[in-house]
Amino acid sequence: MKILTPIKLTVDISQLKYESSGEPLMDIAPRKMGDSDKCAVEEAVRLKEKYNAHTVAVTIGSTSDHERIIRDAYAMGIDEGYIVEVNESENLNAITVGEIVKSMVEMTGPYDVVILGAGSLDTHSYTLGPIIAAKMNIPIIAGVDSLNYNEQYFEARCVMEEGTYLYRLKPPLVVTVTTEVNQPRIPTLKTILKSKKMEIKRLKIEDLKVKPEKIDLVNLTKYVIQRKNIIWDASKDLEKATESLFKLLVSEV
Amino acid sequence: MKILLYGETVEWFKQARQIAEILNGELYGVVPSGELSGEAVKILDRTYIFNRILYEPNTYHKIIQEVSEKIKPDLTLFPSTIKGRTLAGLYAGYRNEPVITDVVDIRYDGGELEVRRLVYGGACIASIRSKLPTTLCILLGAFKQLEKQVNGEVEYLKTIKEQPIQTEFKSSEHVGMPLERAEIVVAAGRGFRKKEDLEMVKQLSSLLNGAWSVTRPLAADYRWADTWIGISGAMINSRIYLAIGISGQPLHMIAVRNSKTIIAINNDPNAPIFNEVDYGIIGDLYIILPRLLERLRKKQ
Repeated sequence: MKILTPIKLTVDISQLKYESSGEPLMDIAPRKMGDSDKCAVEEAVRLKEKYNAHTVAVTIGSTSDHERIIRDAYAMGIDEGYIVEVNESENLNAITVGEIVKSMVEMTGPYDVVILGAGSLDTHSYTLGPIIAAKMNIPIIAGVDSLNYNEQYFEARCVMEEGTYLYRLKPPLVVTVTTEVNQPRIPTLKTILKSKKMEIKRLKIEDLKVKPEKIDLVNLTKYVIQRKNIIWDASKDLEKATESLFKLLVSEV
Repeated sequence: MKILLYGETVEWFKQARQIAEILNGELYGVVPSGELSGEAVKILDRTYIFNRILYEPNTYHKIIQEVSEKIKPDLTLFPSTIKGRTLAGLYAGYRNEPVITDVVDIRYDGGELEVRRLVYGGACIASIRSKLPTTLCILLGAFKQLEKQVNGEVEYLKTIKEQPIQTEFKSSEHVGMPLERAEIVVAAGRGFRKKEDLEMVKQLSSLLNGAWSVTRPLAADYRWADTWIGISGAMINSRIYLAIGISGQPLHMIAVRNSKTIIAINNDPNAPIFNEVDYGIIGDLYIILPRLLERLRKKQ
């Protein structure tokens, strides 16, 4: 079995800072591998350990942070890593990213399964997995909360608003995982040291014959909704706080 | 402009009707059979009905694609739910057109479309220009529901007899009133110590004639409920949202921001949710909730 895991370098939204104008300071925002991408790497490595699969990770971009997340994936147990070099990769549209992955699959595949995080930490679109599946013309199971493989087919459980779905699918397929699918391992010092020596293969977007299309971003600013922001401190005056809340609810209902 | 939608709720059809009004477009819809399709024909200009089968995205998107090939829409709309996003990605991927999720505003001057979407877990808003045709996932509640009765046309699609991909389904535990219809939503977060304590939330929602839910950790990690409010679960746009023991993580807040009034109870004065509330109570939910419940019961 051969598994591809596309991973995305994303802005760590919990550490985002803003100009006084409300514009986020993107240049200094720290970046990391998204949580669900980390779970995708873990899931790939678990399949490798159980079924002797060969695992490949790929990321798109050209900064040292991109190299770092491939090394992070190596430290977790990924066998082979690629960087597809593109400038300003953060503004690529999702269709272009899907084409890059498809072209990368044709060049380095075939793969039995492509596993990636369901939603990235920054945009949470949940559309990249489905776009990759469409481009590769293979089926997808999206938003997987638990995944099993029995050497014939994958069995995936997806929890949705109205209930739980169970899907059984034979490879090749695309799987997108949520952060519920597993608890990613913490690399050991030994695997971290090993990851630093491993080769990272580099591809140019021209090699993949993809014409990069960017998102036409007009403006990006902090999202503010004006709220009344009236706070009652119950530790100081419990009676007043409870009574105020009661009156508020009664008047609104 | 021709607008095609996929969706499964009347509330969403009415919001799409509002978008069609803004863009001066005709509204077409792909809708599963059943009670819903009867409602759809009163809202949409033309409804394409398919026999309802268990949800499976690879099959569903083919149905939408088939209708799309007939209509050739300029704009295709999905709700920004997990299902909607998955179907939109497949749909746009096969059609090779842009897809933008979490859309809260749309402008069109006859040339390119300009949309505003939430990013970074709802912390920021981005304006993006896009050529047509394009696919959008609309954040539920961002547009008002337009009440406009039409006498729409109906077309039945050919029956799908079997599911090409093996699918099973187990329905969630009934949580009372559906969240997206509730005017008042009460939700519990990690401030609750055990599952039994959710009883207080259920009682409160019933006294307020509303719905209740939890945050993702309570549903997915502790398994105290089957569904949750958050970007990966249900999105709400209630009149009142009451968050109890919820710290206000970005991926939760994006799903509740469209509520008119946000109220929070939390014992941590530094909880991020207090930056986004209309009314906040700093205090122990285990002291405040029993008193509030007693007060509301007495009133009844």
